[in-house]
Amino acid sequence: MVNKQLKINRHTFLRRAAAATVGAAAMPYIIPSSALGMAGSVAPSNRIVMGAVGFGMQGPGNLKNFMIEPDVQVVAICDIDLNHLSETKALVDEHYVNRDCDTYHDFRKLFARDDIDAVSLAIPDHWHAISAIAAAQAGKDIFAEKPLSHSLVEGRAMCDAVKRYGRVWQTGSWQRSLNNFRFGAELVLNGRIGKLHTVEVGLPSGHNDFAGTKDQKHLAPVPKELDYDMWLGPAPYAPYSPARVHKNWRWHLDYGGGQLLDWIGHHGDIAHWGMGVQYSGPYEIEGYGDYPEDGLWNAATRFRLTAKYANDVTMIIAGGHDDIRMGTKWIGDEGWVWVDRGDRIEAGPEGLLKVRFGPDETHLYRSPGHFRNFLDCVKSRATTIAPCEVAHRSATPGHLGQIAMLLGRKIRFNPGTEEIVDDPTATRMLGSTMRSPWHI
Amino acid sequence: MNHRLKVHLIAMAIISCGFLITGCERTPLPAIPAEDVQKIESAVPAQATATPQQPRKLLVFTRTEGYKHASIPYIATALKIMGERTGAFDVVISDAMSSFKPRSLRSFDAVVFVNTTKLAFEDPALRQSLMDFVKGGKGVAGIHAATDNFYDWPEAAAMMGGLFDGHPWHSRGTWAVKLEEPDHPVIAAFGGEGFTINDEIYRIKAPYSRVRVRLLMSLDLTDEATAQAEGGQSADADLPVSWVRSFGLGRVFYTGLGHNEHLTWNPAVLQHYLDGIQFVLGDLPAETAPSVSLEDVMSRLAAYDYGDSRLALTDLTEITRTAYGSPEALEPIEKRLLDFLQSGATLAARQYVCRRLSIIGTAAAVPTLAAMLTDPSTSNMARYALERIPGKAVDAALLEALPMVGGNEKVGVINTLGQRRNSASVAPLSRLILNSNPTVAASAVAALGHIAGPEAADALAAAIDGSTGKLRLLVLDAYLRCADGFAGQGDPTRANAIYRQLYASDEVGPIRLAALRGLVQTEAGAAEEIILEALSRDEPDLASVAIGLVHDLPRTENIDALVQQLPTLSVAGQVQLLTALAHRGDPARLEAVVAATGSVDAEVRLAAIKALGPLGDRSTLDLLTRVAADDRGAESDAARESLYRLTDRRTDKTILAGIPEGEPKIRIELIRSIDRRRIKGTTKLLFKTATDADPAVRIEAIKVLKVTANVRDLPALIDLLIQAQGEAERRAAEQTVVAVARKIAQEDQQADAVMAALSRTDDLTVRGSLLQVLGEIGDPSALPVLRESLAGDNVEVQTAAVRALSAWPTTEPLPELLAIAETSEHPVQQVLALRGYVRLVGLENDRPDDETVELYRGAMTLAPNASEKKLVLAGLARLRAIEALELTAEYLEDADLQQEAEVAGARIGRSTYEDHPEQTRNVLEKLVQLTQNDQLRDRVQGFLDDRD
Repeated sequence: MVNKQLKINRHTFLRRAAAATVGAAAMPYIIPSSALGMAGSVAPSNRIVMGAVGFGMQGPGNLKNFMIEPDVQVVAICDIDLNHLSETKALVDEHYVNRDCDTYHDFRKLFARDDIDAVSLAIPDHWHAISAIAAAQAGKDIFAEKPLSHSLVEGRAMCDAVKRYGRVWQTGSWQRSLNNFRFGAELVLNGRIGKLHTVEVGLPSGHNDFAGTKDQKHLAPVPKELDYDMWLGPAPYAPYSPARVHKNWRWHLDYGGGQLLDWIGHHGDIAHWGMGVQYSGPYEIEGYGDYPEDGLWNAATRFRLTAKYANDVTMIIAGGHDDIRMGTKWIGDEGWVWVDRGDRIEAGPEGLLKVRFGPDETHLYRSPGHFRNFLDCVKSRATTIAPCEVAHRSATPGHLGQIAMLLGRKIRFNPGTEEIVDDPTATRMLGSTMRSPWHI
Repeated sequence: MNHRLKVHLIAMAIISCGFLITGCERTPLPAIPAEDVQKIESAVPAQATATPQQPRKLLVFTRTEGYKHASIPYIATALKIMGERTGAFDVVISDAMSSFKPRSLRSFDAVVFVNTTKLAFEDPALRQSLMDFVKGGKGVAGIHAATDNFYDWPEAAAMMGGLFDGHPWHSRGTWAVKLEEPDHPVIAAFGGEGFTINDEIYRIKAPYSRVRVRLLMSLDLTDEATAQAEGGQSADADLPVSWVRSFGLGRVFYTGLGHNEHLTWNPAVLQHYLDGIQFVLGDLPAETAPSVSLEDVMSRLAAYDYGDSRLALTDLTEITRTAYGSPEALEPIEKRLLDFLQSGATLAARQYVCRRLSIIGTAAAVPTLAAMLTDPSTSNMARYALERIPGKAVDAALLEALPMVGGNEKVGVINTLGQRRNSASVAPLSRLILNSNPTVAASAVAALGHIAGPEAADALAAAIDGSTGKLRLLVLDAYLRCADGFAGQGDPTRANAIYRQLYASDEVGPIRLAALRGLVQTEAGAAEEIILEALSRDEPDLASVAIGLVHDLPRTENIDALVQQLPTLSVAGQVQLLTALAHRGDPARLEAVVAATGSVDAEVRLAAIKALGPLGDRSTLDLLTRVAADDRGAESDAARESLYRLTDRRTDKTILAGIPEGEPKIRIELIRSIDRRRIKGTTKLLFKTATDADPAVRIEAIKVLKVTANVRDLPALIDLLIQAQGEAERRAAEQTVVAVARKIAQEDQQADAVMAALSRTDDLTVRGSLLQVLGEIGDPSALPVLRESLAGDNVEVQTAAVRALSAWPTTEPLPELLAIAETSEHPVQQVLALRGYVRLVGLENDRPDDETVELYRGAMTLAPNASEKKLVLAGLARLRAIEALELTAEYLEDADLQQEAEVAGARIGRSTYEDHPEQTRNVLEKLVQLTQNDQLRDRVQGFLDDRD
């Protein structure tokens, strides 16, 4: 083992933590105990320094959730829309009562800053892989939105990069951090509904007009505040329309995956948790969807998928089908559990809701809060409640389902190798080619 | 509403008695007035259009699982008369699913779906049977609502040719229809001219597509009324009215005409029915080639530009999709697409064609696509296809193009070579690593990282020294990818060599962190040494990643020396190592973890206490109980969680042994753990503990008995209640008695023991307590006892009874509560009763919402102050009746209730809008005007705007 004095040029929170207590000792990491608070008032030198990218929709909320944590200092933000950028700078500066928050146009420059420990990413799906991999390469811990990726191939590359660089990763699948979802999954995993045979995952249907631009699908001049070419990034060229970009990009398959992919990282993610297949996936999937024939938005408005998992478990994922209730419902041969947002949980028999699990039973990960959990893990280097690999697996039935629907036939899948079995046409649809110069 | 009304009218007009039918399945239909039959008789064609090749049998299927059209008996009658008169077919009318059993279906030549609705065909055998029938060469005809079926059976929806998507052209209107194919035999009845007709016309959605069906008639939007039908304007696709198609070897005909019964005395429509049916029977030959051929699509596509209708694109997708998997069908399509790429089509159209080729392209496409690589306007789109077409020809073409292209195009070609991961690309890509264009160099490096393998690794290794800055980082990243590839694919030695090289280098942090991770994973038995060495460096980042690696270290790795270092690590390091040890679940590390619970640093203590959950055993019980009992905030909570999680079952015995004596707060923690650890056989001990000298200990024992005691223990529990000292203990005992009483399976016996106790005691406090328990149990047999107590003289007992009734789990005591709320002289009882009343009104029940509103209105007038009124508003908010909205609206200007009324109003309005748009809008607009709550205003305004 070569042991050699090394050049240090990064100043992350851990480094500052060590320096603040002992100065430059020969073996500074092995030192007497010192203060590194996880809560309460935290000295600036002990805060996790963060940067954030993307403020079109989830970004500002996520940012606020981080800023209210006492051990976080947000120092830099990035957006390619000048309006988003200035609004968000005002938000950050107001919080810290100063004018220190730095602004960036290119996330790669933000990632290159040595003083930033962690980044929060909330940008459209077609940008997920490029930004996340660049952040991992720069040694940042990462909080990023669901669905994990825009394609299965990109998701795998993200997981590999995060693992390669030993990064802590939290996906925005926040339902995991709530008690009702965890308890529902625990009931299933502890056999309280007997042998699990069916899981129903109910998702919304249609296209939500989040930006109020549903009537602006016509071509229009690019607003001066927006770097549209950068917004398109790796996606195929298409001219600007207001309804193509902010908040509503999800309804176009070049940038998002419609309701299916928007929600697969929530109710589908919870379904996987209770099924105990967080690190696996379906071996077969088929389905059908209504894809609009015309108009700008082309993501399915109504859809229904049937996925087969090991141990004779069938997962039905549906949007716009009355028989599949919004939320996640696990059905076993002795009972069922259903969970949804708003602290909702129902079960049959009803007595299941009062169950407590003994020490010999499965107790799932308890998170103190989705953002807090990420920060704790940045410090402890433990795995978060929604790590990259798990989010990738949660998105998998969504990606495969999209392919099965577009193809119009059943596809088979090997969750071990993540390859589609005996279907070269479907295999071609596992990834998409990026517009030059973008690549992962 | 309108539809329903009509059904009633027809039902009243029915004279009686169905008409005669013959065949295996018979379904009497409602009869129709004789004068109408006569009108039909006079309109039915006199003879068949084509002579039947053999006697034909037609199944007229009329089942409705959704809306029931009044025209069904009319159409069935017309078809029956038509068959008899023309000899074209024999009719069997049925609405039984069993008609589709193979044995039954086999006897027919065709099925006509007459205004069937929402058919689900849940039995897979029947689905198979119908598909076999049509694909095997028989016929299906559909009239009007035949497209309102098969929503969850895509294959059948595709067979019928489309699905219902609303009917902007309502049944009272007269609409213009144009003939798409004037000479087609199935619409010969209309004489080659468009026409207007009074009927309801559907909008049809996918799977309808002109590339699959031959469209015969569609709505004519040159007609003003037709174009301006409400809700019809947004239709940007076809508005088909009738079509034919082939399906397998079989034939399908659909006509949308047939909502209004008067169509059955319209000779042209009946002729159209006859021709369509003779076509599906196989007697009337007719063209079924789809209206839109590949050629049509390509000519429309040539002019497509961004922002135009996407229909041509959709059609092309549809044509290629139908051909997926069939090389014979795909070959001509591919050829046509390649010709198209060389035509003068728009860039937008060519881009789309390339994206289709990305799915269906073969080696045949390579020359055309490769030629597009050099042109900046087509280079990307060519790559969309080339990147996904299998075969070496693509790689060869890309490599050939590589030196010919520059700038962004070169970068694109490099990226595609990387994605294709052909080792033949390594040498040419390697030459580009030090290219003067930094983007070219960066792409080449990334591509080599994708391809990986020995040659790529060598090229990258050679490039490290010559590269600087950002490029160097990318080279190292790609090199690491090669190493990860070796590690995953059976060459850990080679991987390890790269990790060692990079770890020992003075590259930036992330690179060495990644190398460290690889090193530990590829060097069995050396993990501890590597991690310790990393900790000894002046690099906190490296150290934290090193400790993080302990999480996933195999148990076979010895980490004794590392664990010994625990107390000497920084706080962050200690927390990290403790967390990792807990995750690894290695109980041999217990001693070090226990020691860390005594750390001077709170964070370290907390991490250690948490780690005791998975790692601890019986020996850590005292420690955990002590921390739990010591009121140390987060540490106490963590200690409890760990205590409940100790998997060592011998701990249970130790817990029980500790309960009888000792410090009360320790005993309380132990008692509490009985439930959470689900320790069995504790009831006797808990009863004994429930009479302990210490009140807090007693209460804790009584609480746990709620879970552990069974119905046999009920008398003893009631004794505990009777003896309870102080309010808290009594309340705990009450709750335990209620919970255990409810475990009695026979609901009418749940209150027996409590009532028996009630009759034995005169103590007012105890009586009050027992009445409260009766109320919460809610066994109806206890109601008389409560009513009796209400009538008694003692005010305290009365109040207890009111309280009990208010807690009742069903609506039964509503009258009593109302009476008390109205008439009681005691304000406390009045308020209690009113609150109970409001609570009970809100319980689940079968009462219509408008009646519930009246009950709430009564409560509102009785409510003495705002807090009760708020309860009423909360109850109203759960209703969906317009009456509820209007009652709520009365409080929008009441300063004390405004907020609650707004929230309730917004919620109710969402569900009443559909049936009462105007009234709802009035209330919501008032709400928007009055509210101070910006968020609510936006939400409600948004709701209204969406419905403008």
